Amino acid sequence: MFDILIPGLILGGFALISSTGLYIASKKFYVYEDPRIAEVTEMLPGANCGGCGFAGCAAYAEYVVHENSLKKPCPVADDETMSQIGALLGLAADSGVKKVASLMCKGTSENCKSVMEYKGIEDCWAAMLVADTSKACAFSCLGLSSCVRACSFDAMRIEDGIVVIDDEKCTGCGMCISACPKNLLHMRPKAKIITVTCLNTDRGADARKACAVACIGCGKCEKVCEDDAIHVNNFLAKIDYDKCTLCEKCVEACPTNSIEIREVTIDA
Amino acid sequence: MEDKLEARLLLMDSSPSGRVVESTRRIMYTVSLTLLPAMAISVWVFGWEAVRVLVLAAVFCIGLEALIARFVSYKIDFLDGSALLTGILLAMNLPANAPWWMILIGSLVAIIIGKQVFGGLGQNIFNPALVARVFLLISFPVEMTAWPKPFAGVDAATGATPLGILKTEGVGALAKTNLADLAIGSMGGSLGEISAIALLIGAAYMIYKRYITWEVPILFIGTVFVFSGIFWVIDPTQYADPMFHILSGGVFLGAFYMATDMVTSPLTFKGRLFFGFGCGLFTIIIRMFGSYPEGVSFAILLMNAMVPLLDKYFPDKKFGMVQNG
Amino acid sequence: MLKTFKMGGIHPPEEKISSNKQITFCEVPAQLLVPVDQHIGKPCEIIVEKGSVVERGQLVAKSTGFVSSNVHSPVAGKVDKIVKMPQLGGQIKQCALITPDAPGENYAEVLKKDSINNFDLDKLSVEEIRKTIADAGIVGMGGAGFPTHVKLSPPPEKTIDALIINGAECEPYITSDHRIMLERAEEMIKGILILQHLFDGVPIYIGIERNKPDAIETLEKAVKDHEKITVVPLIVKYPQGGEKQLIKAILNREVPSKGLPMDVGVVVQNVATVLAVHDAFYYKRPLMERVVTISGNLVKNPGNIMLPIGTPISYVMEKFEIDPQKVRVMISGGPMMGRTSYSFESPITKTTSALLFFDESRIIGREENPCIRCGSCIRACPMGLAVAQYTEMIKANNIAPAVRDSIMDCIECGSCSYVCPADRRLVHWMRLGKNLIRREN
Repeated sequence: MFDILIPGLILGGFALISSTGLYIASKKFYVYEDPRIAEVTEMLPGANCGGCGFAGCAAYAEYVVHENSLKKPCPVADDETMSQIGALLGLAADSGVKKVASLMCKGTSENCKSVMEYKGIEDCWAAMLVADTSKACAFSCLGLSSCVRACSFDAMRIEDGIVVIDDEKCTGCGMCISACPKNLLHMRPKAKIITVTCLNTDRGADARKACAVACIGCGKCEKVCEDDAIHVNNFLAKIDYDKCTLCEKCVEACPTNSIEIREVTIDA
Repeated sequence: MEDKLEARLLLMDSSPSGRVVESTRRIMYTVSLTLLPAMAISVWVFGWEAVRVLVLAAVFCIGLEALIARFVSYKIDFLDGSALLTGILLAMNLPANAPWWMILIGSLVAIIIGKQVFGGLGQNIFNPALVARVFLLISFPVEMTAWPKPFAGVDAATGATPLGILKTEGVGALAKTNLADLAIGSMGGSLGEISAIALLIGAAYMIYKRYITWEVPILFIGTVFVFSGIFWVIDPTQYADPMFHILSGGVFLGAFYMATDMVTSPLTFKGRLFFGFGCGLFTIIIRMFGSYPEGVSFAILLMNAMVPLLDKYFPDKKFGMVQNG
Repeated sequence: MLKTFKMGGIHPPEEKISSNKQITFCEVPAQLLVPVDQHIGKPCEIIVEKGSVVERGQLVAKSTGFVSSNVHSPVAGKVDKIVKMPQLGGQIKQCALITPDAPGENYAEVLKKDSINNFDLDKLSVEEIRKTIADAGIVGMGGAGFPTHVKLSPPPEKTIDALIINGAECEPYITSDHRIMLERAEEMIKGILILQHLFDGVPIYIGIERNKPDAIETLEKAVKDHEKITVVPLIVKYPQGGEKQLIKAILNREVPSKGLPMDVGVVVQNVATVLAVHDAFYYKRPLMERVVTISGNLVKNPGNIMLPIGTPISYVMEKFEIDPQKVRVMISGGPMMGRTSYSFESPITKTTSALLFFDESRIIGREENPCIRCGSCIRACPMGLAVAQYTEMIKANNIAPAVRDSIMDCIECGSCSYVCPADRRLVHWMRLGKNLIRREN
């Protein structure tokens, strides 16, 4: 009987001493943390995508509570979530315009022919170390998934040599932007928009030879635009969104189909 | 400047353009082949029972890997020779009278728990064959330690290994064993651990081909020799002599084939030295003071767990790390 | 005692099938595509335009800074246009498309027309020498293309006490330096003396791998009268010709991590570069042509040929009767470090030491298998890097701060990828890692 009691007492004694030690330590080294940080973290999407520029959702929550400001809204959370967070902190949520990523290239294998058979590792940056481009156009999407890997929301996929973005899944976190070595990904408002889907600044004849849907800098769009919103510079048309009234005249005028109406059809 | 020439696109890749003929498959199959002398000895000593164990283990391991390959997202090349090698090494660690279900359980443990749960070839921390051996040793101690006597045929009585005798009956009972028998392989034990000479032949070829390095086996065997020697010098009536220690049991199999496994041994030179030393030290500690007669498997598994640390804290010397000029 | 570097290294098949072929001369091709940028450093500024008439040796693009290099037209002719063309090595760069006045003229005749310049070496000042080299647009012709005058202008706190001439030519297939050492030894020595003058008569070592015994013999004869010039035979081992490895082999000095050869008091120059220096002084000829090895398993008659900068590959292929339909792999430089290229219209540049043509049999771009931690890459690495560990980090985009410097020390020699049994693209991953670190900084 005592044989069991003795180890029991010894272990119990150890437990008592250690728990007292832990208790003292937790009191002595207690660091106050605003409970709202945990609450805000809980409300955030929790994808830890890094789109806000912080290390993750918890770090962002810490920033929001400490700064007591929602000027930098979470790019992923919807308006409702942000207003809930705002209510918790007693702040007016700044419901910025929701954005999605869009690709400035239509160089599918049909439109823009490959000039080589790339055999290196599947990464756009790695491919850029082997050659500036793998297609006839030096500005085209390489289709090697660097942005797809950067996307935490499964919103991107490679189709026919270029990236296709699922507008419904894209949260506008912007992590893909810096993942593209060709700077082909841009954020646009989650609304109707007219955009030039090409970044080729080569002379018209060269651009056309490289890709069937390249902007050749012909200037037809500039002429038909009544709002002075589109300009050709360096053989590439660019739209000033502040002036554009979505009249769609340039879309019809473009001989190479490089101006496109983009509209998020399924809005969240 | 029209390019009519480029009908076929040229291949583009980063340098270098070209490589050696060596491949993973070649390494795995060559290592398997270097085990032929040891396999031959085991067949000579234990008869067709040894062949049965070897074939069953190899078939089970390859079959299981082929089965798993259907269900996982990553690519498994089950014919790359690594499953075959695991199977052979597992068989080498089993007694010749191991029943088929034990071999199947061993293969399951080796391939699934030992290898594929970590993510397949190259990702495992522990040597798969050893994980299986230790699993079987703990789960089925009776079957795993009833060693058939050499040259005795299928239905013969079973007996203990020399190390088992040492553990249970003390050093005095070892008088009958002679070192030549140990070196050639005429003793009780698992398939692969009986013949030190046969293992050495295979290992010599692997060192020549640089599939294994000399550091791990030399340090391993050397440490066992030195430490057992120290005990023997202190009291020869209680402890066995060092030659007996390195020739009996799985020291040679462990040192040349298990500890040197590329995946589960350190990448750096100093790391390998430490690794070999640790294997030898733990082996002797377990043999001398543990309750198991043999400690090679446990020692190697323990050191396997330390490999990431060894790689990190014993880096190789890099070029340009000296101050001169 | 034969010298070598100790750490790592490999022995790929030498394949120097063109080593006994004398340097030949081509005819001036119908069109030249002179690339505007052929060096490492600041890009040049193009100073000709469509319709410009150029003379042989006239400046086409002007250097824009200290680390930059001039480009000259090798022929007299007319600039047809300025075009963007894919270069050997994959970049797309501007080229001046020049139609020569006398296409078909033998280039040897063109070279003979250059006037011989007489001068007194002892009277040349250090500044004059550097300026002549900079004006001539000379860059490192071994492959990297670093402007030579920059290498020859170490900051005053670095004392240079040795000059190494790199004739190791450790890459398989390439024989252009070998032929220069055999056929142009006297001129080489004259070029070397100019460089020696620049550094107050420092001792000079010419490192040559001993698989070129004829070159060693020729040069030993040529340096008999110059006691400060030594020919050092080296063991055949790749990458013996790597700058840091060569210094270690010849002088047993180790260039510190992140350092340059000048940190250990050494300047290394390639054989072809030295010849270009000679031409710049004795013929007042800027760098406008170079010896190129044409080889590979699709070339029936491999050889070494003097080509003007800007010669299109298609012209070379015609001359060497290479069937473009059969070519699958085209490499500029050697197979270990040379870059693959995809366009037959790309031009020869200052750094093209060889052009190799292969069919499908050349092993390239195989699928990666899992790393089995065999450690071959680490044993092969001449810089002693734990390649297998670094590449895993790079793959996971999670490079530990402690290994950043090590990754940047990679010389991209290709030894690790060459020996990897699992076909892993180790060099490519290391290059990507270097790129990643540079992007983050």
